[in-house]
Amino acid sequence: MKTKQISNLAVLRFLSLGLALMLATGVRAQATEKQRVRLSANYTKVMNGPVYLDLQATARIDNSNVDVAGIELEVYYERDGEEMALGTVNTNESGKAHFEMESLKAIKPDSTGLYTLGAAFGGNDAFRAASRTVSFRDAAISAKLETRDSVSYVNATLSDAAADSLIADALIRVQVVRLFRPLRISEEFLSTDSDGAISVEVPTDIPGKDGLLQLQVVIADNDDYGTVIAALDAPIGTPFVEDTTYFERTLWGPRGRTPLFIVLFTGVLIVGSWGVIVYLIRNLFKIAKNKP
Amino acid sequence: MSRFEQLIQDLGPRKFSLKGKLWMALLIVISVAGIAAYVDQLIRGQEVTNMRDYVLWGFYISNFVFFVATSFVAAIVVAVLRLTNNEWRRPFVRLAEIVAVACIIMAGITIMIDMARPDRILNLFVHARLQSPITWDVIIIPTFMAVSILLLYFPMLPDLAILRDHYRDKHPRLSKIYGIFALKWQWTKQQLRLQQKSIQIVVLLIIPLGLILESIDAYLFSTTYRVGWDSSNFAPYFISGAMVSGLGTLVALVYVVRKNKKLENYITDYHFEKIGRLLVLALMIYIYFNINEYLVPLFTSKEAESEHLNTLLVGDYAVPFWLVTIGGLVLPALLLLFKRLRKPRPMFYISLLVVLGSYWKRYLIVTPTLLHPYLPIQGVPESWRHYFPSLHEWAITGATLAMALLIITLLVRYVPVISIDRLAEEEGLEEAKHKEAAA
Repeated sequence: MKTKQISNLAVLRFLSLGLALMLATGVRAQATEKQRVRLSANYTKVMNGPVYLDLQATARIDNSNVDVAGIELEVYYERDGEEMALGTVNTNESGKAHFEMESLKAIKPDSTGLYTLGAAFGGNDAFRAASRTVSFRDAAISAKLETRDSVSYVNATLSDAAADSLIADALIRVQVVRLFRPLRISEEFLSTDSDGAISVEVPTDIPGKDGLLQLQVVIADNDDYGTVIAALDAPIGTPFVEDTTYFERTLWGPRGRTPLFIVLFTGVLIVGSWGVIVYLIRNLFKIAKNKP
Repeated sequence: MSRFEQLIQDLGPRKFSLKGKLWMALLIVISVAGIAAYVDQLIRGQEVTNMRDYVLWGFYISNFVFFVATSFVAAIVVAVLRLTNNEWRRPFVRLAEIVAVACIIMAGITIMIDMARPDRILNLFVHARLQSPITWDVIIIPTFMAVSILLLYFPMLPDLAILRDHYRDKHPRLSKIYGIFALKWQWTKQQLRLQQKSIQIVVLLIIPLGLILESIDAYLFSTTYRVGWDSSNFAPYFISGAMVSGLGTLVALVYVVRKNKKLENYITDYHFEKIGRLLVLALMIYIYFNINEYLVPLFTSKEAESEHLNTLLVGDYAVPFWLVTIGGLVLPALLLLFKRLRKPRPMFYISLLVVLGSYWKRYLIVTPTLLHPYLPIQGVPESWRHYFPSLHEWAITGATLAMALLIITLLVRYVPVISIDRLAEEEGLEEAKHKEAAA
């Protein structure tokens, strides 16, 4: 019985040792295994402004998504199976990178008018190489403000620049730029009509500095055209009435606006105290000069 | 030896004994270590402290508050005792004046230590906002410092002249130094008149200045909208707390000086009995303010305040809080009610409890509040949610305390701790010069 117990113990020890070795080897193997980087790319065009690519690098580590910071991404465009380099960007602490070009003139589409932009990571000790491309056609939004019967409207037309045709049934929205996120003023699912056009009434009660509103007409994350933004300044908002005590003499105002009672009280105290101190020091001099 | 000579021998400068030298060496070592730590803090920035975004006032500020409180009370005690002309005041006034000067100097230095960029100190004046209690503090501290020095200096003039004359033949160099500070004092009518008038003015001036100083110190806290500080009670609460720390420090110092200079005949049990009563009164008043400060919020507090109170009463800071409250306040007050404990030695130990309690009380006022902001602490490392002083903070704060003690020790070494001139006059000694001047 005792011999059997000893034998079982020996087997158990052997198995434990084996398991420990396997685990140790596994851990080491895992430590040296390179992780896969996932890249995402979003193309945006601002009418009469730049076009840019927003890139995001993440990796799946220990069952959670981790931002991959500080890696270099090479940005290029493809044409007829050939890759042409445009430049490089590095991801920031959040794994994000932003690549901007003055306009689409810097790159060329293929024969069908399709542009392809890409970003590639060459790999390093920790991560394997990865790349991502995004293809889009060049769309244009022409937007203008019109006033009819004292009501303001944003009228916009969406067109395909390469095909020189209007784009119908595309989801589009009209919004006002605000501090934290834009304020949508168009209905939720607004589409362009058969002429690629929309018309949206602008409410008159939206506040803006000096009554100026920054309107935007946007097609967002469109499968064919990416994101296109047309900006429009419209002096049709309600001007802010600034309710501030900044220019009054308050306890919380700038130093030039100190309440007078504090200036007077502090002044009297300073002059009074230091006046007496000077008088006392003068007494010390008089004591020193006095002769019997 | 004449009685006058005896007085000079007893109260005048005396060389350091071996114990005194060791004491000085210890203070110098602590000061040098603190200076080295401060230089490192200057080079590396306040990263070396454990103060972060939330606890942005820590050990330095509680140390500063302690110095201000002690200086204020020492000066007030002098002023009140001089104005009321209490006969038992004599052994305390000079030492209190010394404590006031040492502590206000170190308070000024401590607040500069707390600044991350002391090279920008001029900005405090150039860009001062008179609405800010910080600016009031910047104004009042140098003012109080100047008046405290004058409060020490004016009454000391005749004693410096006595020492100048005494050492004329024995130690001409020492005599010359005393002579410089004695300002050619000759007990002339005019000099005495100017001196008495100046003392009267300084004494009258330092009381409102002291109250302003301590109140501003309280406003630094109470004008910020924070749990535990946002109290209209804070200035009197600070003033009563200062009475406790200042009197405790004074009692401890008087005992040490009495023992080391063998002044039992000058500072008697009677004097301790009198100041003991004053201390017990101060303790009682402070206990009363503490009850107000914690009991009322306990009933009325909102959630954030309740959390802060819980931290103090039963939470992370419960042990120091109750040690300070019971050990540093209630117990000393109860003990000092017994006459036989208002004797020098028991009072010394009790006053040590009081001083330690007062010191940590400041820490408890400053730190727990900062750890309980109204908006939740989010997105910061776990270590920022707690605070305990770093080694640099301990070293630098230790050095400021050592420097204060160094100033006190040096002044006690070279300056009569009780006025020889006044004693000689009161005892009607031939050498007293006041009579000649009056004649």
